[in-house]
Amino acid sequence: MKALITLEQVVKEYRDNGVPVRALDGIDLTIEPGEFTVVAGPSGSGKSTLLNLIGGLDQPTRGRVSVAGMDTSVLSNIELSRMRLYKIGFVFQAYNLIPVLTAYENAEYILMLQGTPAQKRRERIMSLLSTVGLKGLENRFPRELSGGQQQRVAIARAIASEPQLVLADEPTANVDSKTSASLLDLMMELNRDKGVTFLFSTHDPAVMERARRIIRLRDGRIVPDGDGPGDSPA
Amino acid sequence: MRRGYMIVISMMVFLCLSPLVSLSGTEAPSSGDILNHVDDLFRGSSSRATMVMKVVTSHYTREMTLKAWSKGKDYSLVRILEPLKEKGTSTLKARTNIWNYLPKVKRVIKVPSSMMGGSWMGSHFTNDDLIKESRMADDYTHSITFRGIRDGQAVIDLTLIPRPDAAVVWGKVVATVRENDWTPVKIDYYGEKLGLERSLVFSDIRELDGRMLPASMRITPTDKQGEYTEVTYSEIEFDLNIEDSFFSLRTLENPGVL
Amino acid sequence: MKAFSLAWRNLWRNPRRTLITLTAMILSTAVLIVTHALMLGMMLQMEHSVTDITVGQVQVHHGLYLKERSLYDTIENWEKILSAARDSGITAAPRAFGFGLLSSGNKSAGVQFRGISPAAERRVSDMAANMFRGEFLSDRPAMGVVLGRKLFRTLDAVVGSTLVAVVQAADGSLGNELLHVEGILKGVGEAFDRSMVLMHAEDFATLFVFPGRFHEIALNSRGTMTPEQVAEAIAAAAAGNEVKTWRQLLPGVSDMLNSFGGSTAIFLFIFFLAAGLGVLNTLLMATFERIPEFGLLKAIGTSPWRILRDIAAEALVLGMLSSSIGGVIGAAISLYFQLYPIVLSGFAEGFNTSGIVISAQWSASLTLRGVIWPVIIMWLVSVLAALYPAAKAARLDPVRALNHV
Repeated sequence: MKALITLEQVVKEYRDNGVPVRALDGIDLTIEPGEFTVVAGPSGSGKSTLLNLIGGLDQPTRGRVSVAGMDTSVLSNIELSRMRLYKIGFVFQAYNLIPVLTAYENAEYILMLQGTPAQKRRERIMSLLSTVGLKGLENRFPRELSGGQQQRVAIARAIASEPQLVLADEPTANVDSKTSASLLDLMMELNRDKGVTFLFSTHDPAVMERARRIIRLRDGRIVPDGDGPGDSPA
Repeated sequence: MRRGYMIVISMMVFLCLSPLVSLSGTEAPSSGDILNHVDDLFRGSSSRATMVMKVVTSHYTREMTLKAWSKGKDYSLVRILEPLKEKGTSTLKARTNIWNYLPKVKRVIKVPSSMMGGSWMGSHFTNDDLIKESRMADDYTHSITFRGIRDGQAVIDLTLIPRPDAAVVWGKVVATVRENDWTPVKIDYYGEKLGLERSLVFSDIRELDGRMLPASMRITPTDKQGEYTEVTYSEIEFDLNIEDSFFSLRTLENPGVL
Repeated sequence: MKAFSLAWRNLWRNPRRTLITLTAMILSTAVLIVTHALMLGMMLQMEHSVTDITVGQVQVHHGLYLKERSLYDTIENWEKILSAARDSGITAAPRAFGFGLLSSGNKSAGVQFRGISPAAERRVSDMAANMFRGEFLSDRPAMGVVLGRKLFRTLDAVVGSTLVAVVQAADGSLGNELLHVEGILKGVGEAFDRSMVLMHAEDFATLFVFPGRFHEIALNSRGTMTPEQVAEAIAAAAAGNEVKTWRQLLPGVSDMLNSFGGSTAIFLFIFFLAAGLGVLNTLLMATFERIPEFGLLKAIGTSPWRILRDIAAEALVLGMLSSSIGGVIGAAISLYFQLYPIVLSGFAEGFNTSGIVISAQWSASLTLRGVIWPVIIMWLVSVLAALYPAAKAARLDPVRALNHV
């Protein structure tokens, strides 16, 4: 099976007040379809940068990032935008939902952008919201939902269009451990039942424990397996 | 010497009283002598005259027979005898006021100051010409500027320049008189920019009421080619006994007084 | 999710700000429409006062008449011009002018006599309907006159007074007639009011001994043609005479009307600008508050165009809502002022400026254009004002926008 994500010698530099900062320093990484992978590391280790590069939200300074067979470095902004729309689902730590849209409308948003007919949208979203445990809450606005419920809506939106990859940047950072566990259950269940590839970042050891594969980052480099136990959350 | 000096009625008086005195003395007369002599001739005398006024303009030609009375420089009355349509139309001048009597509407109308510059009965004389009078010597400095033979006639030219404070409209006046009897021959009026504006020419010197006078005078405005107003006396009497009260609105309104 | 419904929800996220903006825009639209209607009303009235009360749209004169004002400079072939006008459906009134003295008792005044054809004058101008007292001239010559608004005071005359006219007639004689005051005109212009005496053309011909001669032909299509078209229509018949439109005859008035129109336009422009800045401010603030949200939208694959469209839709909803409400209010107020003119107190009989009569009653002129344009321009202004914040939002970098606090 062809790799879903391939990173070759990826370097990402930022300029912080004119001083170059190397956020990622020579990353080589391959992720196969159907994987459930956690990117772990302390704050500032480059987790978000890595996810942004894979998600096509940013482009590497050097090296090559390939997602679903597309080299992101040769794509224009519009092409990247389309790639994000059609290939990738996103779950963020905060600001995940549009406040003026209901849970249903938020979950439906991507399908709407993709031009899916209303009837088909309705069927899929109603069943999906039920799957993520939000049955009966479809018409609530985000402010009427708890943090965990909001993240469930975000997860529903991320997988609604059945993307090849779901990127989740610290999706459990703002919820309590019980909610965190149930969100993780949901994602693992979706990974298992629907074959959705998950790549998400965290610094929560409880989350890391349940990952099938962990990529540890420190100072922009991948820490080889085996050094793992030495890592601790920031 | 204002425009007023030029006016029909004043001229009639002027003509009436033109000197019969021989002035052919050998001593040279001064310009002041001539002017004073002429001015003095108006005073305290009266006249009654019949004349024909012919007006030629580019738009019409008209001929009126007029009868005129005058006393001194303050009073005059003129009535139109012909044409029939205008018969009885009359003008009274008493000091500085002018009234017209209009027989058709049987009304007397005082000529307002705004109309003083207007033509008198369609002629080249204005209403102003009727009333503006003063002694020439008061308003002008004068000198003899020519004395000799011109066009086969011995003449004297008097040039009059207005005094700085004089309220006169002319920039210069040149009067030409016969050398022998000071009978006027021609008077030229110059504007403030010293261009010739109008000329008064006297002619037809003959006996009227026992005196030798120029019976005809013609005024020609310089800016209107071919236009003129000519007054010719057919009859004139001098030194009549006319009361001041004759020159009243009652007389003006009474068409029977002829 | 329709763009407009999304826009509607977004607008009500901050109801107070949106209401304030909406109110300002509604008021702007209404004020614009009312101002436009009032200004148009005044311009129409001024132009009307020029063209319909005395001047007409076009005048024909002898080539020298306007310069010299000589009694003898009359129009050649005036009958031909009148029939050419008739053939083109243009009303035409021949007029003869002469100066003279009019007196009443011991009062007198220098006046301009205007010999007119009362029937023709009724068609060409509103003079006949503009009576202060008495009646306009009857169609038969009877030595009646109508006096200007100030002249009757100068002469101490009333309707029914007998006046004496003395003029220098065309043949050099002293033309004189008894005239009867039949009416007094309302104010139509300073010079006119002070010195105008209207009389039947045949009476004029008798007074001035000048039959069948006219100095002016006033032409008026009564709104069916422009002055230029009127001039064109009679040009051939009027050959040899001078043909001028009212704007050429009264360049000062024409300039005044133009500058009046210009200043109105500037005023309206500033108003739109202010309204636009209001929208811009609202949308800038609204956009700025929502930067992380736009970051999210971009991150999950919303195209810049869609973001641009959504923000423009907010502006358009604002603009449409406010301009519709403002349009209705503005039209209603304009209509009110059209039906119930503003009475300028202190000018009970109207007043003059630069020779134009301004009526004491100032009525608005409501036109469809006068409502539709402000409404459409308000939409455009709103959308234009939205473009800057919308473009900014559309170009946001998603990662940085998401992390914007």
